[in-house]
Amino acid sequence: MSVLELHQGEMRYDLRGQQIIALAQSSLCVEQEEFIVVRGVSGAGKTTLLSILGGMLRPTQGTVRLGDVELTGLNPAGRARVRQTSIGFVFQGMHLLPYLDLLENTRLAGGTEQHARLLLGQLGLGSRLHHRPAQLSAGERQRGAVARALVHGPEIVLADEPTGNLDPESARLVQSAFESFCTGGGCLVMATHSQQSLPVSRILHLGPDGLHPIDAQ
Amino acid sequence: MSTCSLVWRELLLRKWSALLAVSALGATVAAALFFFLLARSNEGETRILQRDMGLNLLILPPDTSLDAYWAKGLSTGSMPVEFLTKLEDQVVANRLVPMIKRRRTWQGREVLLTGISGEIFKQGKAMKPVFGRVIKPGTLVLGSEIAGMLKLEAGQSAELLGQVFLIAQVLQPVGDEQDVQVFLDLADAQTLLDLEGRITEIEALECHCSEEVSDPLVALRAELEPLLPGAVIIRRDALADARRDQRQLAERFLQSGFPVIALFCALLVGVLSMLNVRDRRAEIGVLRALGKPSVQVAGLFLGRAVFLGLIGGALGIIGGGFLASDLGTLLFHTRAGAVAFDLDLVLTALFITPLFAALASLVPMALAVVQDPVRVLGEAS
Repeated sequence: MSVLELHQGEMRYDLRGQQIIALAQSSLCVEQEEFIVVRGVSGAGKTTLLSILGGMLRPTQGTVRLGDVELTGLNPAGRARVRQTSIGFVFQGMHLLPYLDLLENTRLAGGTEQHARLLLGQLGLGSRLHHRPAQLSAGERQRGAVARALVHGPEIVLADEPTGNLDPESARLVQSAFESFCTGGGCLVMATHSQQSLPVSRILHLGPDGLHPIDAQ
Repeated sequence: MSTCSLVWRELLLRKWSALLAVSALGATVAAALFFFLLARSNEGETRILQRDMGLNLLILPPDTSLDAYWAKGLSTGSMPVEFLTKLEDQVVANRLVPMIKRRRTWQGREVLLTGISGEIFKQGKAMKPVFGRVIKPGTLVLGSEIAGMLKLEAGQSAELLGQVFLIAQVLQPVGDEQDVQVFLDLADAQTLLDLEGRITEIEALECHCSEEVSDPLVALRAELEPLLPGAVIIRRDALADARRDQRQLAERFLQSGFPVIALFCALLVGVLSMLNVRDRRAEIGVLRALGKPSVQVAGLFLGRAVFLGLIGGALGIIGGGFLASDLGTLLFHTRAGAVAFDLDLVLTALFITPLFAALASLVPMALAVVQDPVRVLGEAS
């Protein structure tokens, strides 16, 4: 049984009388230990896809199932409960709380302090635990956001451009953390517009006609 | 991390914004309290001032000749006591004090006998009496000069016009007609002077309190003439005008000043609360995306509002009290001691201020909390 399944999901909205298709009809099954990359140009709908997969947006059509729970059948409070326990997010804008230090921001998602310290150490932030977001570089904030997505041991992590602000060394640390997470039994969907080759399970392309597989490098 | 801890950390980070919100709340409470305390103290002050000024309206019997009245200081005529009940259906005269005044010779000295009752309120209204004298039947109250001349003291008995009275009190000298007056109960005076069912004058308080009247005497006569045909109405202009001016000054200031200041501060608090929520939409989105329950997210904002409301309320109470006792004396000639706090007022301010602050945050916060986290994050980015 797949960990996460999107079945014929579609997102449309009305903008001043004009129908906009934010996500063309798409289907996706994510299996355990899979590391999936979704590529597409800016505006292709990658963030919308991840938001739908994570139960943060309800698609106008189609269903999303996480394990045996149908996310699209839950109310906002129910979806929030599922997110809290089973899903990790890395937002494109990072969105760390400005008044908490890095360790506190990481622990905001749950998990133990020991695990949070371990993850931050693996991501090269061991010396920045008590620094606030304003005292960190964009790359450090991005890595902190990655730690926050992983700290509570979710079933799946959804990452939106997590290496966009990173230098090659930091990107390697993030990539390594994601690989560890997947080999440890988790699965991950990462959206990126980067064409860089990545050691992943599958690469998908999101375009105006939906999701299509590309051969993994 | 607990909600309280998150609230505290946010306040520490945005301390200037928090300080501004506390200042606005404090100013609102201070302004509200300032006006409320002044209104309350002013009511008491007005009462004291009016008592000190005396009654400003005099109603004399129909056949009174004014030149004789001013020459003798009393009316030689009389009117039925029922005139008092006729005054129930008008609005310009209140706090009625009926009297009988007659000059008589007592132990070789001319005295002004004054039969008087306590204040009579229209339609049995319960008000705090400030005028008139309540004199027990069978007793006398003597002016200082007459008591000295006749060598009479409180506690002695004395015969007056064939009837024995107990001297209840000798008044302090005041340097006017009162020093040669002999006060007695109105009913005793009616019997003693053979004027049963009659009175010789009514003193009253004119009640053109807040309204502007171009010619108050004409207005008074128009109101009273149909009720007391032929009665002579004298308005003690200086007293009446001073009283009206004092009251109008306070009322104008309280009516116009308070709403303007309170509305301004309320708007400021509301705008600051909305801006705070708006600035923190990304935070709301993140917390919701991380699966934090709406109640916990709402608790962050309402907790902040309640905390700032409590601090602002406490500062406002101190500030308002200080302003009222300090500026109040300057603006309304209120005695410093007249501005009094009570526990109920403090508790009310401490309850209402956090509630008000929370209400100001409620709408923007509720709008943000119920939206999809993605939309909130998208709008915040």
